Amino acid sequence: MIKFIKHFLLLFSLLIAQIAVVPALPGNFKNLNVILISLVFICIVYRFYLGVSYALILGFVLELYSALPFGAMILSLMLTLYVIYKIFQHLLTNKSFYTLAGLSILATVIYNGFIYVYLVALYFNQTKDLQLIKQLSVLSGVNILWQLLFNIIFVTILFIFFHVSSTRFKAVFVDTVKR
Amino acid sequence: MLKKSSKLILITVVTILLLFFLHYIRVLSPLENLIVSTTKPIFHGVYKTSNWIGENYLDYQSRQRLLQENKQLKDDLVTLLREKSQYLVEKEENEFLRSQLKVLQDNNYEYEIARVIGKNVDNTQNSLVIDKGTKNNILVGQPVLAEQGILVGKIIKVTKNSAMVLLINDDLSKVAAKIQNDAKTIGIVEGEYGLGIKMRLIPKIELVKETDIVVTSGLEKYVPPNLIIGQIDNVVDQPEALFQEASINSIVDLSKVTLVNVIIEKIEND
Repeated sequence: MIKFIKHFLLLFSLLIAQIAVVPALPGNFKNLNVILISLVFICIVYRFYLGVSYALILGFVLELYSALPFGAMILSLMLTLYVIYKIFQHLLTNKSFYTLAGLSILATVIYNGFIYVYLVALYFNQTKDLQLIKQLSVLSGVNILWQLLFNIIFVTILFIFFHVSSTRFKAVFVDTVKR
Repeated sequence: MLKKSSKLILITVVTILLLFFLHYIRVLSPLENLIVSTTKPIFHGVYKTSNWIGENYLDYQSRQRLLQENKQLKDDLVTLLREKSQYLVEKEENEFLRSQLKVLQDNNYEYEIARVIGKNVDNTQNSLVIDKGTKNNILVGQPVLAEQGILVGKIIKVTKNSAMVLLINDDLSKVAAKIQNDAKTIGIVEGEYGLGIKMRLIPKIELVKETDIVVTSGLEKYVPPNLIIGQIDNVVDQPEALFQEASINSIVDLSKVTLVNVIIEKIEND
């Protein structure tokens, strides 16, 4: 029961942060993607399938508050996590800060890439206006850059916090803890 | 037999496809509506709070900016007031110098302009301290003029860098003067308790009237003739007295003199 409450509180906090807090931040801070980075963190540090389960639930609720067609957010999250996990398994295999930062960057690019493709398809289908799509591309490019910056900062904060409070990270640069 | 990981991937894919299917056939609508209706008030409250914090932060920032601007403007105001004050002083000096220049050039006097830097500290005399002295060729006995060339006193004491001017309304002040009337009446202009000026020793047979102009007679060593002292205000002719007296009104307010001209000598025309 307590475990269930913990999971529920974590999921609910992430939803509140992403839906109600981040969009109200001033300037370009609203580009921060709390849910994506948290999911990447959970998949790498804890268990991959725990991250997948969270992604399903969070994705479903995000779909209800999104203007995109149903399924865009869930699919983007799932595919992103799958790619990240594959790279983690075969390429960046330790739980160090560099791995986390690198995977966060990759996740941001892949996730926003999927969303961008959805948006372009949607715009083209409804308007056939290439100029509009060009403007969307420029805007998306700028937003992705800001998102990269803030996501890196967020993942650094997460890493420092867990490095201090948990044994899952032993060193900043090279991990010596068994997975 | 599928590996565990493959099984889990399969389950995930199936779950996702099921979700899509159930959503598009609207089976999930009640659940979706329930989630939205329960989470909406909470998200709304948190969003409002976040907005409020954001706005207050922006207000604080703009307040800080305004305070900074206000401070800067106050500093600028002080600077401008200082400059204005300087400008007014220079304007006063400029006007004084222009009026003096005409008078002195017309009469070919060599002169020294001085600032009044103080008054006599012991209150025993009506005198002013000026900022020029012997190094500027100031000597005891030289006449001192104020605006428009009106005589206000004579030098009574000199040091290297300063001098003391005895005002014409002081008890000890005595100037040889004449009235600009037909008879060119001569007399002595003396001060009265620092309050006024009187011309004494006017012969009783001389006809003196109010509004006559009184000027220096030129009988003193350093005091040239025809320097204006004032205008006759009232004539007192007592039967038992040997001489007439006339009170003189000076155009210059002796208590407000800030710039003076000291006549060094008259330049003789060749």
